[in-house]
Amino acid sequence: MGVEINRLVDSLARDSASRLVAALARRLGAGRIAVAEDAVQHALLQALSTWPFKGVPAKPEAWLSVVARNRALDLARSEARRLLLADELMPLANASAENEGRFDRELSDDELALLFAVCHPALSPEMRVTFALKTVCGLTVTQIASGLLSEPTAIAQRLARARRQLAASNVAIETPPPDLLADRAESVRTALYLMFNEGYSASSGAALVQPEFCVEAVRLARALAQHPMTAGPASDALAALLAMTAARLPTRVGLDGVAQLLEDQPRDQWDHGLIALGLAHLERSARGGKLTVWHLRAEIAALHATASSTAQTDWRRIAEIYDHLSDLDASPVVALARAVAVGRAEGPAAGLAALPTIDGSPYGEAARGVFLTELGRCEEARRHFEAATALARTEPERRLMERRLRA
Amino acid sequence: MSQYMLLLHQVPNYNVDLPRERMLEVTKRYMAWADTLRQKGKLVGGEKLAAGGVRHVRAKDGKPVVSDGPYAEAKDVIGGYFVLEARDTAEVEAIVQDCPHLALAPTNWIEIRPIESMEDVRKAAAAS
Repeated sequence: MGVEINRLVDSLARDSASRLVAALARRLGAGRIAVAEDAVQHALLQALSTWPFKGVPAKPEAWLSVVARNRALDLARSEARRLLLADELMPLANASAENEGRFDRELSDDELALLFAVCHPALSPEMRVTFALKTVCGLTVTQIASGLLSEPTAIAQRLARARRQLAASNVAIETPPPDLLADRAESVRTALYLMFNEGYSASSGAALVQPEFCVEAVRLARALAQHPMTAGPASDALAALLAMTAARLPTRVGLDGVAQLLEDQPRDQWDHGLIALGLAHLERSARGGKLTVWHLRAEIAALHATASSTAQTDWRRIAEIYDHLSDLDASPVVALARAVAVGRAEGPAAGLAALPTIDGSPYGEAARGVFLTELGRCEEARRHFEAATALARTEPERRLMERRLRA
Repeated sequence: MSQYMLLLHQVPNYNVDLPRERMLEVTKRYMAWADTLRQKGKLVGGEKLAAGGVRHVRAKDGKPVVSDGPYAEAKDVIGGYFVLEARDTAEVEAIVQDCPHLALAPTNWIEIRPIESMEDVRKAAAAS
């Protein structure tokens, strides 16, 4: 019974709730996403606080949807009285429950439409990530604030701005027309990638990883790859990349709270279910003719995930892929990763030569320190490790750099 | 077997801002706790009480006067109740030990009240 309850509550709080928000938001319009969220949150709280007393109703998700819809209607009516828009609420009252109460992990059409809306190019990338975490993933402002190391009030303001911007740009909550679909889908994929990264290496704070963000990003990427409208090689490649990288989450930070380098991570603790899942997506991603950045990144993730150790890793191949990738994505982060791969494949001198100068990156300084150490230039290396320690953005990162410094 | 009422005391609106994960976790335990009692036949009933619409009715100069319950400002309200069936108070105390109502807020507390049974009344009457 306990397990069933856990599953039921999780499934209601996440899947049913996000589907309900999406269904309501779609009918209410982009300007009233907050009304939909409030209504569903209210229904969830009501359900959860009543059920210990009366037991779980026969159709919990239907129960939730009725309460949420009534609440949304109330909220919208009181707003409508002010705005004299009562007529447009009629479709909500008559709405059928077509999408409500489904428990599988797929994205409903409503949810996909909402994901497209909150990842709209009219919004800045950071707005998209925040908005998606709140509205599609159903995380709280507090959770998002702690994950993004921001103040809850700042996050709330960013969300309010994003909602206003959507309303002002007349963005409808609907899937984009065919001629815009490819671009808009790419904008969603980019947002999910950022969401994942924010969870995988938090840009600041006490914790290096925010697993919740990663889990949500993997879930949405997989759903994107499964929905007929967004399915395709690029979405499969993104799902492969995120699943196989998420597989390494359990070992990102050691038991002592210090960030662990790839070579120090006990690979038997990686999530092999996720790796298998990722490989399946990777295989499906090979169907298309076009090689996207997601394909390249996914292939690198696969090479890491399937190697038995860092020594056994095909660094030469990884360096080649990074060559490709830097043609498509000329960011310093890619250049840095490429230099590390080159160093592993061809030795520290080649790695050092390939290193880009990135100001303010602890990893850039640390990589330089490692190569210099390997070349026996320990005094110079020390300076770079010191710089890396000073630049570290999270506590586990800082402690890793310190450890390097002592070594 | 006797019946007992558990009165669930709380400070109104205290846990409104409980983080969602914590809320979900406590709810799961709460539902499991109630379900176990229900399956053992120990849970006779219970209701969650609404926070709004509260009225106090008092006699003033011999006439009932209705006033709104000052609930938002109250320091202690009853948020709900359970009726249990148990051998004795000790068993109820044991059951209440892990009632998740206590985990929802540090200010929450539970009052155990034995329900006056007709059996007791009859015995008491016979003995007097």
